[in-house]
Amino acid sequence: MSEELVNQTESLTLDKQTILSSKESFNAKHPLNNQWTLWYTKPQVDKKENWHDLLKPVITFSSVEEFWGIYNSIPQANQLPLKSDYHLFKNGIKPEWEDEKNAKGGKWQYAFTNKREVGSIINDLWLRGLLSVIGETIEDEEEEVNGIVLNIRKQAIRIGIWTKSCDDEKLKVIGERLKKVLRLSDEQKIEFMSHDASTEKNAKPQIVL
Amino acid sequence: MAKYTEEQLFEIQEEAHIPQPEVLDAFNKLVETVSIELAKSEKKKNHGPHNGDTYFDEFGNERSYTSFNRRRGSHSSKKPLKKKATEVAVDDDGWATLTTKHKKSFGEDASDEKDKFRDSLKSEPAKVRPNNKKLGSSKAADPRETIADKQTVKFNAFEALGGDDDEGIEDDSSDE
Repeated sequence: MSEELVNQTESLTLDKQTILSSKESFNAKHPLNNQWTLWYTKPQVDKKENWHDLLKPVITFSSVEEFWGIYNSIPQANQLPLKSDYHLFKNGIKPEWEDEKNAKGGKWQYAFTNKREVGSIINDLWLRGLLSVIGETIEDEEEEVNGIVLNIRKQAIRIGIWTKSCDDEKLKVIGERLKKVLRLSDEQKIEFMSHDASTEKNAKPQIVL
Repeated sequence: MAKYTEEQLFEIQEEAHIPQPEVLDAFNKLVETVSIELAKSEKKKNHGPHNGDTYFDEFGNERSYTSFNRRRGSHSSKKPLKKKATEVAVDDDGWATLTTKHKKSFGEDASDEKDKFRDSLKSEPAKVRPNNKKLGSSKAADPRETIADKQTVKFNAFEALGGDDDEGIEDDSSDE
């Protein structure tokens, strides 16, 4: 079974052909500012699988129509198995700390710990997050946001926005908007932590909103 | 730089277009396979001992009790009976006898008082007077039975004098 899975994941590679290179199939009337790639982290079912085996690009798109076509065809957030992640990143940026566009940045994150409560609204919140990122209303003109991540875990469901820098001023605007997108109350705090700090033990968040 | 608000994006939802259906099909199959695989391994994990009862943890996940220990109150179970202490008494001839100590309600020192109390009960026997009012059976169900219970044969001097022998007188007098 695990071999089958490996074969299936190997087939999930980025197609170099995009809609832009095939004008016949280009139905988009509403192009996005950036091309976006959807990535998926597959839960480990075989101990031999490492992080690179698990993280796979699924598809790249560059129009609103394509976004909806993809969104309607893939499993919803609450249908994903535990230890799965969705990552939607600007094309060319890998959802890893090591990527040079992420290396100096960090992430705004909120963890929904009561899964019974969030189970019914997570699809809506994740969709709102995706729309704010592809529509680029999550920020002004800063070009700070690299992508958005959804983690499905046993203890919590987390949504995070990855940024390319740790500039407090720029980050606060993004953080405040993320709170609105996720419909969080004043008591529900989101935290920003740089990727560098995340590697340290007991690191404190750089900003809390 | 063109931006799309949430409302604008929702307006275009109807015009959805799937760019590479085969890629998305493969992805859906992968997620389905992984889910099945994980469910199997989870079932294996949960196959271990559990008492069939479940609870929700602080994160809202349903989990099963893995302990077979039944929940019980500290006073709900009976305490085990203590075995009576036995003593072996050996007499002068070397015979050993098992004797069981009986728990006494009177202390050893108060044994004289206990005897006095018992004697007082013997000398003054308690008069037992049943409270007939409360005993339903003391009332005769039929008033005629009350009459029947009364002494009906009375000494009649005329009959006694007129009798041939003295048997009747003796019988009657004994009744008196």
